[in-house]
Amino acid sequence: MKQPSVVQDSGAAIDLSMVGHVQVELAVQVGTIALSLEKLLALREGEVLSMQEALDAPVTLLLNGKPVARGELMAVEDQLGVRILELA
Amino acid sequence: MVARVLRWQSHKTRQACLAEVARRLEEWAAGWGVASVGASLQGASEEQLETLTWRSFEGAGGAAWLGLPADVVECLGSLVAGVAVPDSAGLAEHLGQKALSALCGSVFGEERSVWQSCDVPAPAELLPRHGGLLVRLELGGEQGLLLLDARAVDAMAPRAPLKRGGLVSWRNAIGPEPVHLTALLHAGKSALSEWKEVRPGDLITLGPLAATRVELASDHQTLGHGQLVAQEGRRAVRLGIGTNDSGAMK
Repeated sequence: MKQPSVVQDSGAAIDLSMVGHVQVELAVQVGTIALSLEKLLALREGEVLSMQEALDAPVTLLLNGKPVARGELMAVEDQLGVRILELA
Repeated sequence: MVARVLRWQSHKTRQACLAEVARRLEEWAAGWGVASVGASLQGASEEQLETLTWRSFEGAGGAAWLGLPADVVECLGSLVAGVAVPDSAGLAEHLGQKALSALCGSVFGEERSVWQSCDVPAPAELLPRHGGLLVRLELGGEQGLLLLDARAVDAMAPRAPLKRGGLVSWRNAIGPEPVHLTALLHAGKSALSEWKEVRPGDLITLGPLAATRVELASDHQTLGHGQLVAQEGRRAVRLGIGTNDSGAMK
C-alpha cells in the first residue's frame, strides 16, 4: 500500500514513513469519575470510587492525549489488554 | 513598588473631617487669640501649591502637610503678640513658631508635635483615590492649605467598624464544586510506525493485571493512583498509591 504523504510549501513531498520513528505515548482512558471537591479532599487510601462507565463500556485509546481509537478491556491470562474496536 | 490602598473618601466623610478640622482650628484660635480662622474644601492648582512654604508632620494619627505663605510665622506671631512686623527682636517669629506648633498639637492631639520643613507634597499624595483630603485654611487673614493623608482623615472622621461574620471558609465555599477525574492506564511510549500498523481486532497488552495501576487525573494533573476493580456493575478504582502522609489524596 502506498504511504500517504504531505506536501511542503516548496512542493517537495515527505513520506510519512520518514517520521515513523517519532515516539508517541499511548494511554487508555478506562472511565471518568465525578465528585465534589469536598469529597475529593476527604478521600482516603482504600476507598473505592465508582466510574460513570459500565463494566462492559468501551475504553478510549489516547495517543499523546488525543482520542484515536476505541477498544474493549481484555484479560489475557494474567495480562491486561485492549482489543481495538474502532480506529479514527 | 509601593502598594497603596484605594480609598476615595465619601462626601459624608469629607464633610465630617472638615467639620472636625474646623472645630480643632477654632479651639486653637481661641487659645491663641487669633481671630478670623476658617476651613473649607477647595481644590488647589499646582501653581498655588508651589507658591506656599510647606511643613509636614507625621504621627500615630497619620501624616499632614501644611502649606502657608513664607512670612506667615512672623505675621502670625505679630498678630498674637500685637507687635508690628518687621519685629527686630524676633519676638513675632518666636511666637509664630510656638503658635504653629500648638496648631499641630490642637489638630493632631499630639503635645510635642512639630512641623518639619518639607517640599511640596508629591502629586500622588493629592490624588483623591489615595484617601487624602485637601483643606483650605484661613489663619488670621493668611490663606494656606492643609493636606491630610488617609490615616489622618480616619482619625478626624472615624469609619464605621468593619462588619464581621458572614464569611465561609474556602472549603465550604468551593466544597460543593464538581471535580471531574479521568481514570487512565498508561501503556508507555512506542514508535509512531508501530501505531500505524494497528488495526481493528488487534490486541494491545498493557502489562500484568495484578500490577495494573490506574492514574486519576484532573485537567492533566495527576491526583492519585489506584487499582482497577469492579463495583456494582461499574468499573471502579480502589485508592492506594498517591495519597499523602495524612492519607488524603494528593
